[in-house]
Amino acid sequence: MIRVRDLEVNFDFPVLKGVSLDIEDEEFLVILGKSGSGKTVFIKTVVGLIRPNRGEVSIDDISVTNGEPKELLKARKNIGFVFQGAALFDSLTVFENIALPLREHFSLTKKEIKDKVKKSLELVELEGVEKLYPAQLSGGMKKRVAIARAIAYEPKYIFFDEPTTGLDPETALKITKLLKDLWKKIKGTFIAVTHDFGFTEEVATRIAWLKGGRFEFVGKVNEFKKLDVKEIQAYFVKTF
Amino acid sequence: MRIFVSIFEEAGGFISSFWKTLIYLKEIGKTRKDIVFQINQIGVNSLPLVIFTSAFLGMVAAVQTAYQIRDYVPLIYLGAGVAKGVMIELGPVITGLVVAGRVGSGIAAEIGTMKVTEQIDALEVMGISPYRFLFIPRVVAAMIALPMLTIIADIVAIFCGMIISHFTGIANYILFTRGARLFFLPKDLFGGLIKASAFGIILSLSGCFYGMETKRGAQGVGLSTTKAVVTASLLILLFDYLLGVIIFG
Repeated sequence: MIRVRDLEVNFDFPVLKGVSLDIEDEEFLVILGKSGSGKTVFIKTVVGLIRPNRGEVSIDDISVTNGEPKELLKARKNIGFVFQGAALFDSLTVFENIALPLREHFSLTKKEIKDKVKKSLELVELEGVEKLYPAQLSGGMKKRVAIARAIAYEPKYIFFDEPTTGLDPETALKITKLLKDLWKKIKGTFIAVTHDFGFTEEVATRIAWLKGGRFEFVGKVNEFKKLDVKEIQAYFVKTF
Repeated sequence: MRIFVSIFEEAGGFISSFWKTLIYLKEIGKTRKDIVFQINQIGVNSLPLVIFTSAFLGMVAAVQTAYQIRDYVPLIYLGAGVAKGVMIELGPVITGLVVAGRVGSGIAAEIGTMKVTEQIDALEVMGISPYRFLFIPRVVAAMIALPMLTIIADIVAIFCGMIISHFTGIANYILFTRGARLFFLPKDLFGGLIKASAFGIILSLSGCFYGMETKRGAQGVGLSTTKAVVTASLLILLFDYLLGVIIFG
């Protein structure tokens, strides 16, 4: 379980104003909010990439915000993260990208690594690309490889930063279905941030609506739809 | 006042990066392949530039030394002057500056691009230290490659100095080499190589540090590249003096 308490992040202006949230195991939580609402800052703070000004984050009772580096490393072995732009390492092939965390943190044989990479690529329905470099892949393929890299070491929690942004409608739909199927198959805890309500409606078991640096709503999709707030209606205009 | 604060902040960041790199040296075994790859990138790929620069450096050194000493000092000292000057000072410094321009900027641009495309964040979230994964291979490779490049630069510069002296009639090659050998001290060569190693650390660390400091997209990458080369060049000159005093003073 991920526990977030009174999280406050300021850059030159306040981004998160004391937010709290519990993320339950095996749920698919979607953090919804418009651009610049602090969604990405929130998940980056939860995984320890941004140091908060105040507040506490713990992952399975390991403190991310105040823990020792060794503890943080332990917590990170349970975290996968798919960045908005995929963030694949340009100088490494697809195989090496996916194998990197396996080589770094686990004592696996070459064959075991090869098998795990193959299995991850099968799960994201992308095979035969092991020898290609990221520059040779399309946007959708890069996202799939990034997802394969995130699931390869079977982390308990996987974060997705705007998984459908920047993709054409058809590819976005494929990624949406892929994540839904993947979540059912691997039974992990998925946390995605997006402003895409079509995606949210399709995959979320719970929504957290971030507005003005605070969670204005946390609950089920159908409850969110019933809210009588003008801004929410804007999300129902489907983009595809 | 603000400029001094900024300079001290950058100096602090630079020293802190060096310290973190030293801490991760214990995990050097994991980066063996990357070190070999970087030695190729930094060393082998810089060879044409270093050879070209040092060839002209040697020729200029021979002609200008001859011009300055010919009425006062016997020309047997020409070879000694060129060889000592190249080994102690010109070889390591010019190699350091040339490689700083080529490699320091390349490292800063590469790591800077990784920073703005969230590849560094991806490393951290996977629990892989960027200091271990990016800094160690580049710094260790530059530390090894620079002395190797300097040896080649020294040989090329002295040889070209000798050739130009011979064919312009300043001093024939026998006189030149006799002078160079007569006053040769191993300390001259090894002192220069120690300097070169230090310059390798400086230029690679500068590239890595400013790459990691990159902010605000493509413009930020350009700025980091400039800062990396300028800082590396200034530090190479500063450390050239300090190491010169320590080794030869």
